[in-house]
Amino acid sequence: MIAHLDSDCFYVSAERVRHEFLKGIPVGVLSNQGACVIAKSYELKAYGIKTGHPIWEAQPLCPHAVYIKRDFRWYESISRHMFDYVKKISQRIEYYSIDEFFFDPDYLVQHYSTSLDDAVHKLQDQILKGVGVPVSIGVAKTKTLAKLGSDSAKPFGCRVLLDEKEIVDLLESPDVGEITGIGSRSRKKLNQIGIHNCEQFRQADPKMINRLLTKKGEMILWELHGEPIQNIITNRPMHKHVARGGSIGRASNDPKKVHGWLVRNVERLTEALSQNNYVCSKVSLSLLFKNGFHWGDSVSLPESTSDSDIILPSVKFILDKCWQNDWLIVQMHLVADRLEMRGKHQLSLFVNRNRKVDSIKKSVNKKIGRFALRSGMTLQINDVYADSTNDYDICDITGKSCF
Amino acid sequence: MDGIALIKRSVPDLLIHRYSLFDRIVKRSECNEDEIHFMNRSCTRLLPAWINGELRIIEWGAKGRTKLPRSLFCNYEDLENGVWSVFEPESIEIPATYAVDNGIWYLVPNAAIKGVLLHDENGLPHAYIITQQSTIYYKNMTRNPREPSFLGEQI
Repeated sequence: MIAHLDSDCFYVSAERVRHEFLKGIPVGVLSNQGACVIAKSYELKAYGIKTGHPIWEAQPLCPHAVYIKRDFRWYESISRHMFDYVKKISQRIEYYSIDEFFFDPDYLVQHYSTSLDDAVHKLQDQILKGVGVPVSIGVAKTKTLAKLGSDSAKPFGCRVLLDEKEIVDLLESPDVGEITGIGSRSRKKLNQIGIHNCEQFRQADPKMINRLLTKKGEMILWELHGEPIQNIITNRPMHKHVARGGSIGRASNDPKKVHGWLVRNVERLTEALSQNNYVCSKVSLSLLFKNGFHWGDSVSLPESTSDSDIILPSVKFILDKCWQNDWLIVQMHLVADRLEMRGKHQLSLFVNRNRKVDSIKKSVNKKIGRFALRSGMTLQINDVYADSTNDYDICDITGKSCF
Repeated sequence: MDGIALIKRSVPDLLIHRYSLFDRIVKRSECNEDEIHFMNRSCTRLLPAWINGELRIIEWGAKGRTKLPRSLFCNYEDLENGVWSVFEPESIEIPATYAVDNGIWYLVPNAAIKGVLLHDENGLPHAYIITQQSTIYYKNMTRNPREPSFLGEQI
């Protein structure tokens, strides 16, 4: 059996831990640039406000809502606190995302010496009292079912799905897109062949699903049948790729600003590679423009590296080659691909490896603070560095098996 | 900036009675704590302020026959350049749970805003909220190019 624990409106709940007076009022947590709602309380959701809603559109819908600047350092500390609570009880636990864990519920029954149903409720109460965050818990034979169970139990509910009739009841109503792993494209494909809800998906022919959605889709289907295919991952496996980037704030086509953001993202990317002890041999750059167009390109590096002195000129080359200066950039993403563990990669005879900028930067920043020493190119976006909450983002939280 | 709100339990009942703050008590939602609102559209503009360790309710800005500035805000840049030194400003803390700017309510960091205290010709105290150029974040959030100076970190 597998249990899935999911916090209810986590960022808002974490804010309510330190600001109790926020309980019962519509609260929204704002994005990195202060323009969009990235999390909302159930009270705010009741006014039709969704994640991603721009604040100026949300405000007229709920004029008395209170908005809060995000603080990922705080959210991580609450998340780790919650994780430690569950880990004390269940040895097998997966840190799936900042507000979601999978764990082995057998330990719960032993710990509380009661039925599974009671034990799950006791854990839920214990986390509420001990951490202050309301959670929903689903228990089933597979990860996919457990997650659907916790989703259906929200807010602050528990659902143990071991009976076949209960599973059918659960799967009949949710849209097939609610299943983790069924994205918008897969959903569209399924809708085209008349599959709209989870139960219809479960009853589909596995071979046909394999053809339509590859092996991954078939795996999800078997999980809905109660066949555990995905295990609890207690140690995070090696990344397939590492990405850094996001919104660049106000849309811009100022070359100095755009290059400033490029350098910032390269510094963050090389830092993440170095932290994980990775090197990469391919880097991709993608840009989203204000006119809705999307552009991207990639470059192979002369050798697998995490050195910003090699990565930066490569991505600058593709930016300068392809960017139309009259188009306003909204988002920029850098992705490091073809990852290998440092020390296990093939070195090149033609690369100068005597540069020490990254290691000097790392040792200075370790003592003084992140980004204390950074490239002079980033002076063009000094306002981003002036706000210390930009020093720590959701992607800086390590150990999660999902984003 | 349109005003601030303070949760009622942080204001002693004595002050609520003394300054007749009853009509400023507002409930944001059914199951939430009462708040006291201090808005710039009020007939009598008031602000709470910590002065010499004591929480007081004083006039926000100045009106009537006085030489004190008519605005409700004090530009940090002007303060630094000595423009306000003729009024002998004293620094004060304005406690605030929330603030509202262009209709957007937000949580005030560290529950306090920096302000200055001036005394008029009759010795009566007047409070002004210190403002500075908005960060991109604040400007995106409220569309106001000026933001209050918060105690500690800016939004």
